[in-house]
Amino acid sequence: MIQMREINKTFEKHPAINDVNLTIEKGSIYGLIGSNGAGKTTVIKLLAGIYKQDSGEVLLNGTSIYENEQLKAKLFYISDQPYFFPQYTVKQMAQFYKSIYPSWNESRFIKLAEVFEFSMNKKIQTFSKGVQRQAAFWLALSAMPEILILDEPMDGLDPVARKKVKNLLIQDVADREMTILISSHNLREIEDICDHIGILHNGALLLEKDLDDLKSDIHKVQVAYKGDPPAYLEDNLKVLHCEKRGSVMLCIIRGKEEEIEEKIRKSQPVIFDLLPLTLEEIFIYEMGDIGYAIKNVIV
Amino acid sequence: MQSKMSLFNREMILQVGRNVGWISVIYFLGLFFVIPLRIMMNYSGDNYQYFRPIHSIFDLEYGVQFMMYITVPVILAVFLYRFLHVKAAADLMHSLPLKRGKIYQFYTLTGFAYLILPVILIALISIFIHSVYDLNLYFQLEDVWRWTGTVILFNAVLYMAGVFVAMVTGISVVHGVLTYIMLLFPAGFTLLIIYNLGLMLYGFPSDYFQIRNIEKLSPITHLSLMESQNLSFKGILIYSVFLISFYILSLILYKRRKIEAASEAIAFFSLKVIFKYGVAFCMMLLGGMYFDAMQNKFGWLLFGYAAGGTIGYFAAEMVLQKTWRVFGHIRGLGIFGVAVVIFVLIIQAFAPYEKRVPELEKIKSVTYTNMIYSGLDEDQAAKPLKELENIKAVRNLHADIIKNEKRNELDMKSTEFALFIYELEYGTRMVRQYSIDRLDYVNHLKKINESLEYKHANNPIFKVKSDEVVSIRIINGSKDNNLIISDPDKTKEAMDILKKETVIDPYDSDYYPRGNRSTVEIQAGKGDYVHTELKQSYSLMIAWLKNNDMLEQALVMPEDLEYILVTNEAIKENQFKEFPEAEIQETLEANENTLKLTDRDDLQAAIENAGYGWFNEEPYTAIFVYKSGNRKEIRTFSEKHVPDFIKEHFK
Repeated sequence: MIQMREINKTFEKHPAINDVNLTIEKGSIYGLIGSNGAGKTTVIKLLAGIYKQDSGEVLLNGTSIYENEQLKAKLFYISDQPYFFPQYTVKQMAQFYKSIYPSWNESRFIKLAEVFEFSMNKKIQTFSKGVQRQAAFWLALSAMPEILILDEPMDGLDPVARKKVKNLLIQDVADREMTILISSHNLREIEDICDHIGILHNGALLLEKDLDDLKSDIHKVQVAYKGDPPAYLEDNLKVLHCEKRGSVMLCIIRGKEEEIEEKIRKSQPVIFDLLPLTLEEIFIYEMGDIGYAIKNVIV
Repeated sequence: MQSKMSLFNREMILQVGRNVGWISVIYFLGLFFVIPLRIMMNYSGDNYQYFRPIHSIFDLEYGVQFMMYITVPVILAVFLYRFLHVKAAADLMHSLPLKRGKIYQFYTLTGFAYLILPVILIALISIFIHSVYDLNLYFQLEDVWRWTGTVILFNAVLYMAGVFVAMVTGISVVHGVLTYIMLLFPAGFTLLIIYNLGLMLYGFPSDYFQIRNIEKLSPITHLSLMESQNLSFKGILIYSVFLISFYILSLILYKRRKIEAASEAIAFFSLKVIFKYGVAFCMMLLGGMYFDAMQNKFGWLLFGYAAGGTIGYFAAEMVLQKTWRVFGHIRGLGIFGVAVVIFVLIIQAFAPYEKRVPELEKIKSVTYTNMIYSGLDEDQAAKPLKELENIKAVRNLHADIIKNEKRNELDMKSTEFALFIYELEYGTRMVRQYSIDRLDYVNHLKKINESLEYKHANNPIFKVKSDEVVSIRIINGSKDNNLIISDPDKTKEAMDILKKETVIDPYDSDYYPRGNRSTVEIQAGKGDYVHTELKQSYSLMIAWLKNNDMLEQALVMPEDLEYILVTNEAIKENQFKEFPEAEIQETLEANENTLKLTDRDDLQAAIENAGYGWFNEEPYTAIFVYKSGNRKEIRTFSEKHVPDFIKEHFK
């Protein structure tokens, strides 16, 4: 389990993040969402043990990560612009990582060559940006880390590569309970693989949620009545938002699915449908005013 | 889980090698061409002129060697620690499961190995060549070892400075520049401080300090001496202490360094302040020094300080902010200005320094001289005076100079340098230097200069024992041959007489020289030469030379001269060019009024009385035309010493 407690970090005189608390459970895929300059990279580099916080604690299983070789050996970091030593090939980089990461799995590295269809004997810097990023994933997955930290990992990947990488990541999480921290400025890009979401805005963590909880707790309902809708409905249900189009009402309601269904059916609507919500809508209705303020961030 | 990383991680060594190995290769090739190949070229084939022993390995193309020694270690440090200065590389390195201490030790030591590997290989190759070619006649194995040790030590010092600066900065270019600044700083800063104290404190002996070993204060200038000197034990010790302390200091800095400082000029906030005001201060001193040296006026000096300080401040600010738009940041400059004014006031409060003349009873001895000797000439430097009378005389002169502080440097006619070195009780020493107008202090100077003790202390001739002299050579530029006296009895006699002459020689004989002179070169041992002059006034010596039939070879004789032309008309300034003799000779020969001397006695009288005054200050000017080598010489006659027949002619 990764924990950040009351973290503050200032660059020169400019505060980057304030009092951030964050928890990532083992085996989860945690999505860190925020606009440019929100502090995502700072949080990530603190978790990777690169930066040192001004105050607070960054812990892995209860122990501070900074300057801790044993803990850092369990952790692999891919930066927003993957860096490789000049003139190195994938194979040479692999040999380097192999000498440093105790958990390096050579057979996996060779097996992954089938997935990534480019040569391990060519200099990485001759590759395109997207291929370089794939090379970073190749190396990262071969190091078999317990925790994988990814800063804007989908940048520059085409849809096919994206799919491929996501599958590999999910597979590792399923097979050996790998934990992933993934940052993005775009919620849609990662919503399909994350199970936890944290939203960072102006250096502060606005919310931290389990996506399943979120989805099971909020619903979109389409109903129509002959005549006016019964008044008691609104008193019995937590309606976050409601709009009328003709006689059809479209409402966002908080609560358990069965409960909502039961109550509405009792009121004998002419039409009743439970519709799926996009994550985007959830955030906007869930967060009210802040939601609107950061709408641009999460979509 | 234990980390896999140990100091012998092959992949890490390879990584460092891929990064800086090319520098090692170039270094090796450079050294190979300059040393082993050069040795083979020198000592093979028919080129016998090169078959000479060398003093040390540094003799071989030292210029090229020197350039490599000062650049290679710094370049290597810059490339080695480039990962600290590139954000992406810094992130990668520090996300790895390696402690900072381990990264530091590994990189620093591996880089050092890559640095000295070429040196060791060159040493081995040189030893191999030495034994194969059997070169014992030209250099020894010991020379190779000494070269290897010296080069490794200097390489290590420059490299360590580079490693240290790597921790302090976040930009590779700044890394290189700052490393050289740091290496030159001790010497440069000392020079600036000494020079500027000399400007601010009357009597501060800046020349005396400047000349003393300032080049040993920087490893770079010290290295430039290695061609002719060996490294002293003290030097090795100091450099070793430097290496160890900077190795530890750099480690501490690395551990405290923030990784996000990559691409910052200075990585630590507190150092930024020191850097900014340090640059402003040094530039201020430099500006003052430059404008004082160029203009030597108080107004210009102030301008130099102001301009230097301002430029330095903004330059430092530009480096720190990485933009030239820094001219709004004047608050710091204001603070700096106020600090400088306070500093100057503090310095001015050192008035006792300027006014101090030691009390007579506290003076053990005093060295008074108008010349500073340094380095190799040190054994010719003046000796201290211990007799009470002389100490008193020197002290009075010193007190008078201080009394006239305001007047001394106004309208100088005959500037002379005066250096006082007092040895006081408890082994303390007080040194002052002044520029004085000699004519204001003639009485003092005459008293000191004509004392027996002063003569013995200041004339190198007294450092030679008469019976140890190997030979005496008397040289006169107007003659084709020199006179050499090598008979032991004769040299002893000559030395005794020369010493006697030196003792009775009056104080101002050198200021108003009269008559022709010859240089006397006394050889006291192998390579040990002392010089003095044979003056026309040395009647005892001249008589001795005459008795021994040597006079004609020793001094200019009428027979050496073709003729002499004399005029009483002033020569105009525009006639006085770079080689004016021939032109003036033509002018004089065309002039009817010119007196031409050819008679032997007239020539002799002219030789004995002609001086070396300024051509337009003395009433008579003469051209001496010699027989040898088409040599001509402009001379003068003063009103006091002009021979009567010349005076008569122009009446």
